[in-house]
Amino acid sequence: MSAVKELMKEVAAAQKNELRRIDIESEVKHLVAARMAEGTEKSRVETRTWRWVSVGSAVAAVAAVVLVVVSLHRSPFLTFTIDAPTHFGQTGDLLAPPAGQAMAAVFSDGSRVVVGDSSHARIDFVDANGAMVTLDDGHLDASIVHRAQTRWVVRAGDYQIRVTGTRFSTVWSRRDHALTVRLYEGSVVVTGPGMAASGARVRAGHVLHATAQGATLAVAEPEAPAPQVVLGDPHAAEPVVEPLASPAEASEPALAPAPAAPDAPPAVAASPTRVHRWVASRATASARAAAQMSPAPSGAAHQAAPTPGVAPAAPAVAPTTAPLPGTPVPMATTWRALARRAQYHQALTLALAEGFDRDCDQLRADDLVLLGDVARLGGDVRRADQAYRAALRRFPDLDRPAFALGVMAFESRHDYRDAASWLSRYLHDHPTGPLATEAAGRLLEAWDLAGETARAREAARTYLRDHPNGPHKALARRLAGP
Amino acid sequence: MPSKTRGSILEFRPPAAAEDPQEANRAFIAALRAGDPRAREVLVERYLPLVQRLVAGAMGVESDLVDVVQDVFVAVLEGVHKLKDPSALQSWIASLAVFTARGRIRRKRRWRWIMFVPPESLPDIPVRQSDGDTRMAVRATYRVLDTLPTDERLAFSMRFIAEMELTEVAAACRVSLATIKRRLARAEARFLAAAQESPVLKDRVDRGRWASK
Repeated sequence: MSAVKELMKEVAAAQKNELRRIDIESEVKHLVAARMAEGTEKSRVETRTWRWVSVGSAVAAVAAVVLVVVSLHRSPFLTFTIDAPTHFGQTGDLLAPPAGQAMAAVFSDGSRVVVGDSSHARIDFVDANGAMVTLDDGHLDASIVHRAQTRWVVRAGDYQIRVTGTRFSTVWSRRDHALTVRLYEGSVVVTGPGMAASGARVRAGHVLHATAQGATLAVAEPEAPAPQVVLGDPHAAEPVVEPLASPAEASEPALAPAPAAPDAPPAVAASPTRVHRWVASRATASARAAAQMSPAPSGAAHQAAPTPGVAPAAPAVAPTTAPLPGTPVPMATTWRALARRAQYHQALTLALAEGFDRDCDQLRADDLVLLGDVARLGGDVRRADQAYRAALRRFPDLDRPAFALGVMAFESRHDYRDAASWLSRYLHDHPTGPLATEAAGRLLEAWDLAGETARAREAARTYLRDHPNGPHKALARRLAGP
Repeated sequence: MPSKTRGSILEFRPPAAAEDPQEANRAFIAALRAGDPRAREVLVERYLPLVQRLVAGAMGVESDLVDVVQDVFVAVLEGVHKLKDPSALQSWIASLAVFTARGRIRRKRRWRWIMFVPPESLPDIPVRQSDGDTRMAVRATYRVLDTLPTDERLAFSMRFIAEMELTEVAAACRVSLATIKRRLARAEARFLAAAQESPVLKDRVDRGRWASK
C-alpha cells in the first residue's frame, strides 16, 4: 500500500474513533425539527406574500428598486459607539471603564458588548458581519444579534468564543488563565487550552469553566438572573443593561446579596448608578456560576452530561458568593473554601502545603473525595489517583472514587482497559448508583477504544437493556450490532 | 405497516424486518413527504452515521459538523418530494451530503480573504483520543486538502477518508466514473506535491512509491 493511502487510512481511522465518541443524534433531531417548523412558517408567509405580489407586481418592482437603492447606501461595515450615542468608536479602541463602572460598546446591528468594573477589553476588528473583541482581563457581557453570516469572536488569552447570535457573559482571569463562559441564549463554541481542538459548544443555561488543565461544563443555576439587553434601539439614550429579575426576585431589592459563604469576601456593594448596579449583579451571577461548577463535599452529587471535549462537570454545590477569578485570596482561607470557588490550583497548592499525604489518611469520606476532585481539576493526576484510592481503601462503600478513577484513566491517561476495569467495578459495586448510566456509557466507549470488540458489544447490549434512553444509546446501538 | 392515509401518518413506525423493504421504503418516504415527525426522527437515526461520515470526511470533524449535518437533513426533507425512485434514497442522501459539504467548503473559501481570524488562530481539525502524531497528521492532511480544488478534494476525501467505493463516489458527486477517476488522479498528484511541502507529512509520503512519481 502506498504511503499516502496508509496515511489516509490512519486519518480515516482517527476520524471514525472521533465520530464514535461524539453523539449528536438528539441535537440533530432537535435542530432539524426546529428548522422544519421554522420553514413551514416561512413558507406560509411566502405564500401570502406571493399572492400579494401577483396582484400588484408593479408595487413589487418599485419595492425592489427601493431595496436596491437602500442596499447600495448601506454601510458594509458595522459601526459602533462607546458609552454615548455620539461617541463613535474605531478599531483598536479600549473598553476600560473607571473603577466601579461599566462601559458599553453598541454596534449598528444592535449588538452590545459591555465590559465590567476593573476589566479591560478592546475592539480588534469590525466588518460587515461582526467583530473581534479581545478581553484582556475581567468581565464582559455580550448580546449579539443574529443575522445571516453573523460572525463574532471574543478572545480571552488563548481562548476563542465564536458567536453567531447569542447572549452570554464571560470572565477571564489573566493571572490564573481561567475562563468562565455562561450562556443565557443561543450557543457559542469555545476553543482553547484544556479542551479538545474542536472546542466545546456551550448552550443556554450552561456554564463552562476552562483552564489549561481542563474544562468543566455545568448546568447553570436556574435562578441566577440573566442580563436583559434592550436591542430595539442600539443608540438609546441610556445604553445600560439591567438584570432581568426572576419572579422570585421581583419583590426583593434589586441588589439583595446572595447568602455568603462564611469565608467569602463581601459581594460588590450597591451603587446609585445603574451601570454599577449591573456590575454588582453580574459579579453575583458569576460567583454563582463559579460555585455551581465547584465540587460538592457530598459523594452523591449530580454529574452533568458529558460534552465532547469537556471533562465531566464537577458536582454542584449550594449557591454562594465568591470572588471573580483574579480576586486576591484571603490568607485565612482553606483549600476546601478555594475548591468551593472553583479555584482548584490554589486549593491544591494549599492542600499540598497543609500535608496531602496526611490528609489522605485522616480526612473524612466527603472531604477525601473533594481532595481527589481538587487534585484532578487542579491537573495533578497522580495526587488525584492517590486521594481517590485512599478514599476507596478507607471507605469501600463510597461510589465516586471508582468512577473518578475510571474517568481519569479514560481522559487523562487514555488507558482504556484500566478505565473499563474501574467502571466495571463501579457498576458491580453500585449497579443503581447515581453515576451508573454514565459509567455504563463510558464502559462501552472504553472497551470500544481498547479494541475489545466482543466486550464492547456486550457492554452496549447491557447498556441498551438497562439505559435504553441514555445519552450513549446511539453509540450503543452501533456497537451492539444486529 | 405504516399507513399512507393522511390521518395515520403520525403513527408511522419503522418497518419491521419481515416487511417488504421496497414497500416499507415507499411508506417511509410518503411519511417524510407528509411531514411526519416520527419519520423525520427515523430518518436521522437511520442515516446519521452515513451523513456524518461523509461530511466529516470532506471537512474534518469540525465544530460546525452539527450545522452541516443538520443542513443535509433539512435539504433531504425539503427535497424528498422530488425523489422519484424510493430505492435511491440512500445514494440521494449521500449526494446531498457531498454537495452540502461542498457548498460549505466553497463558502469558507470565498470568505477566507476577508476573515478577520488569522489562519493560524483558526481551530485545528480536531481528533481526540489519538496519539500526537496522528493528530498532527490529520490536521496537516486537512490543511493540504484545503489547497486542492473543491471537486478534487471531495473526490479524494470521499474515496480515501470516507472510504467509499469509486462508483459510490461518482454517484455522490453526480459525475461519471471516468470523470471521478480523472479527478482522483489529479487530486492524488496535487496532494502528494503539497504533502511534500508539509513538515508533518513529508516523511510519511516520502516513504512510499508515490515519492518516485
